[in-house]
Amino acid sequence: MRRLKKVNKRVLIQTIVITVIVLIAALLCIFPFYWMILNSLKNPDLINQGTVDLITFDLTWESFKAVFSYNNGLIWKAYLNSFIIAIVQTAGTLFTSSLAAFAFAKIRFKGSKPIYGLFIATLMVPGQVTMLPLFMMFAKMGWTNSFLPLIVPGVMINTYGVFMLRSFIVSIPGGLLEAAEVDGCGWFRKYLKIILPLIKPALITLGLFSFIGSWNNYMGHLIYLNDPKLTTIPLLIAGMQETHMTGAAWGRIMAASTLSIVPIAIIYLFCQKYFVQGIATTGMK
Amino acid sequence: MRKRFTKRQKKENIIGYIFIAPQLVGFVLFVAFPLVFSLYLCFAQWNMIDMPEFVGLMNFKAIFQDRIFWKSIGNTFIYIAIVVPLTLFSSLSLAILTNRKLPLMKFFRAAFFLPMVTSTVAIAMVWTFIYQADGGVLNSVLAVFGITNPPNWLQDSKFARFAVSIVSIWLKVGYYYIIFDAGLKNIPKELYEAADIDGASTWRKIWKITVPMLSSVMFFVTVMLFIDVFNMFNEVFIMTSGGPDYSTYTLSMYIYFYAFSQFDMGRAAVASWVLFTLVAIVTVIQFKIKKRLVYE
Amino acid sequence: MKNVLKKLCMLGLATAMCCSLAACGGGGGTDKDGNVIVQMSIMNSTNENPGWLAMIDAANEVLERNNEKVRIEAEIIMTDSWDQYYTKVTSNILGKIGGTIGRIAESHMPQMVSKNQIADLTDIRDELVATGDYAADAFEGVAVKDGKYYGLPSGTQHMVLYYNKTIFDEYNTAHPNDPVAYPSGDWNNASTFAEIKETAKKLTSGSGAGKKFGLSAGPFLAYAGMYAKNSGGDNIFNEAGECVIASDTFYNVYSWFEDMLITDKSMPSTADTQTLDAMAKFLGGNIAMIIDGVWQIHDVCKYTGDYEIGVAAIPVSEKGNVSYSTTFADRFWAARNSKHPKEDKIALKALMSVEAITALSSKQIGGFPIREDCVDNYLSSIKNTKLAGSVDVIRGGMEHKVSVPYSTYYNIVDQQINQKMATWINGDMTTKAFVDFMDETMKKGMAGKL
Repeated sequence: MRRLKKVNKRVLIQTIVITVIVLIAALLCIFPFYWMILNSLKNPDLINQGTVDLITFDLTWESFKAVFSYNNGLIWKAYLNSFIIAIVQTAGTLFTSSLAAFAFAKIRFKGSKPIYGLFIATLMVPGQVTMLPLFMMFAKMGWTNSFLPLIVPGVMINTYGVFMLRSFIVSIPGGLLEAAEVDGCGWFRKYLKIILPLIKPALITLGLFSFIGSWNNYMGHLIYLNDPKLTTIPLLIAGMQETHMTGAAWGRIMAASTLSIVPIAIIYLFCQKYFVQGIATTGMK
Repeated sequence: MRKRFTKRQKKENIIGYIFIAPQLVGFVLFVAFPLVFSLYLCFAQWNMIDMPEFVGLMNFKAIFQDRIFWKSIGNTFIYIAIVVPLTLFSSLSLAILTNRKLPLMKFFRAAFFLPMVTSTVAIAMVWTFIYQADGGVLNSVLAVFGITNPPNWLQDSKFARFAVSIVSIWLKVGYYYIIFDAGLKNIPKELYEAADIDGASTWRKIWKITVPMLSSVMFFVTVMLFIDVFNMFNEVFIMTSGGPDYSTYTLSMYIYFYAFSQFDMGRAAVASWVLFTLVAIVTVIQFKIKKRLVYE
Repeated sequence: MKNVLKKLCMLGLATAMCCSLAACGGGGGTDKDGNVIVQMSIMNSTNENPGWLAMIDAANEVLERNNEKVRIEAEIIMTDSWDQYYTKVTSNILGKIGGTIGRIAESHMPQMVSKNQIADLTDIRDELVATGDYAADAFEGVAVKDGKYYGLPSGTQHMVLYYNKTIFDEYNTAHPNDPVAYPSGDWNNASTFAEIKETAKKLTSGSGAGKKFGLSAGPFLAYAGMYAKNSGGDNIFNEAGECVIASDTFYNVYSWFEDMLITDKSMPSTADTQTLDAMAKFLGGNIAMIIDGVWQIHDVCKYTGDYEIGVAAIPVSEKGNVSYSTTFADRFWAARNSKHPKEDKIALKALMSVEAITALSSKQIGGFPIREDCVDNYLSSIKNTKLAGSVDVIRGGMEHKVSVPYSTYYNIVDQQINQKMATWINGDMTTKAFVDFMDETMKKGMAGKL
């Protein structure tokens, strides 16, 4: 009895110590976000005065107003453009990669194995290698300064997506498909009626990755988009840094950063489960 | 019966190709062709208006005598030396620490994951702001602790690499935390229970059960981290543009500079294949070691 | 089933719509009156855009009056760095989209010429120079290759020393026994390095974010030639074309910088201007003197602070040396592979017309006009501002030009030197070693070894 108490006490102390360590780590993780929001709400004139004030929230909206009036409200355009690119690319990639994954997993066609092998072999090719020829290709086609180079390749090829969805589809028992065939279902109906509903969680995970990847893509947008009317969120924020750095501009950048992180943070909070699942499965392979 | 089978097979052949058609076309256009073309570019010089010109090994010669190229390779290895062990250590230890009942667990997990989903551009700006020499919050806090002459983090070649590495680690920890966490959940509870009966200490359990059971996950994470570091671009580009004195320059920036600022595609192509080779070497080594472990 | 198919169709439709939306624009084409639209690439700079747009409007009026079937349309490129602008313009030329004419910094002209991206404009140049109205020497330099002219200057911009008179006056009131003098505005009798250094030291005060600095100037390669000339030396290369950076002239110039940047700390370093750039600090009353270009006149003349700003000549090493000023001349170019080369040239000629240049210079943009008869207009537009008293000094710099020896390798040399600069400013490298490094890098660049 006495020993049990001792053990309990030890466990309690251990838990407290660990909680404190983990709490510090968690605070370090969120501090930049906290600092960003705090400064976006600060009076722009008071930013960077060299005094440490980690807690006072001013709640002045001047910086946000400055963001919304930056280049005549360019931020709305940037939001819209970022959304269009991300959503079209995500929808497209989900459709094409699930179709291909289904074919590779369940349809026995000639050449299926070697083609799939080729797909997987290129998984580790760094983007930089294909970036240069693609740039030249798109430039020659006159696609630069449009969303096409940012959307079309993402829709047409997603080796990782095919790889991930295939591993889900393979585990679906063949009996389900056979039963559907008895009912007279064609392959496309099998895909729609049986496969898609069953791999919904995987589709959501892949969709999230694709959306976030596109939303946060900087280099691609930097290379391909010239026209201010085509600007996107990452370009807008980076552009704000380049103009004259004034004290007020830091507040503006912090406000713009806050605004750019908000949509992703909301999506993330609602879909945390799928994120974790998606990443956890990559580690198991 | 046999006839029906071949007919069915024929149909499956057609359907299969229809289903993979978009991805197959995309693969040929956006992966296979660019790969071959980029290999050709390594041996060519091209102003992109007229026809490309075959120049043999000139691009290789130019790149191998370029001080900046070697500097960026050197930086890559320094980044690896800082980022890989620290990320591995922090994500693994967080995963082990949180692998028990703790209060506030939901908050902790949300906090760990937040950095990896946010836009690198936005958050790199925030870090630049934090690292400011004059009036930046980091140096202001250091001043409170009596460090009156704090470093100018991003403008001093002695500190910039480290400062950028910290941001890079901060961005990555959440991702690898999830992977380790999933790995830990897969370790059978019986092993720990058996160890408890033997009266093993916590440290002993970690060394004798957790770490060995996670070894394959750790291999995977290490390779992913290497590849992540090889590809580092956004955070460096925004925070330091590779400076000061190229101390934070990466291979990806080298490629970007020669491709899109100098339009020397030949040189950029060679650099991109060097990057590819590095990634390939790491992947092959990992594959070999893993195989050996499985065979033993 | 139907439902799903419907959804899929909608998705496909949406994709197609977005793609076509994204693909439109680019190319130019013709307007409803049958005029060929020539797009002109300009950089997105909120300060300067009104000037360039006014120039395009004026050029279009000229085209209309001359019954030319050509109109110019601005294509604003979303960047404010010349490097990125060059990237984007190049990709436009490759894809035959966007602007077929444009303006680019002098520094990037050699690359555009050597990469064969732009058209030969010798005929326009000859025609313009033959009229006798244009400054012929402004066409020379970076845009010339094998006797052919690939660019037309959009104006020349030189360096001057702006100073805050009020800071000087306040110092003199507080220290009547140890006064400071305004820097000299006489280009033939400019203040010396030593005088400026002493003045800067005296005018430096305070610390931290509110520190006041004496002088801000960039120790960059582009300006090094100007200081070397003012010390009686050569502008990076001697007459035989050899690089002479590793010489006493440059050692002295950079020691001057070292004294202010590192020893006296009377000059802000990159770390000090991280939050607020030097010009903003100057206009905020926190820097007493700043050496910068006449492109800043546009901002400086609208200053709102409770002080007075004067303009002086660039300092020299010894009393009596003639003061030179680094001059930049940005160029107009036309794409070599344009679908309508004839119209591009007509458009460029309209941009070089008296009306277009006047429209630009009345807004104090683009620097000194290259037409003599427009210079007065430019200067009188400054006379209506707070810089009225300094017009003669500004004009004087025009007579003492020194240009930057840009070349195809210059940008890489410049980048490598700028990267090294932090090491020198941090005190981890001696001034002599830094100058030697500049010399060595330039020589490597010349030999094609970078």
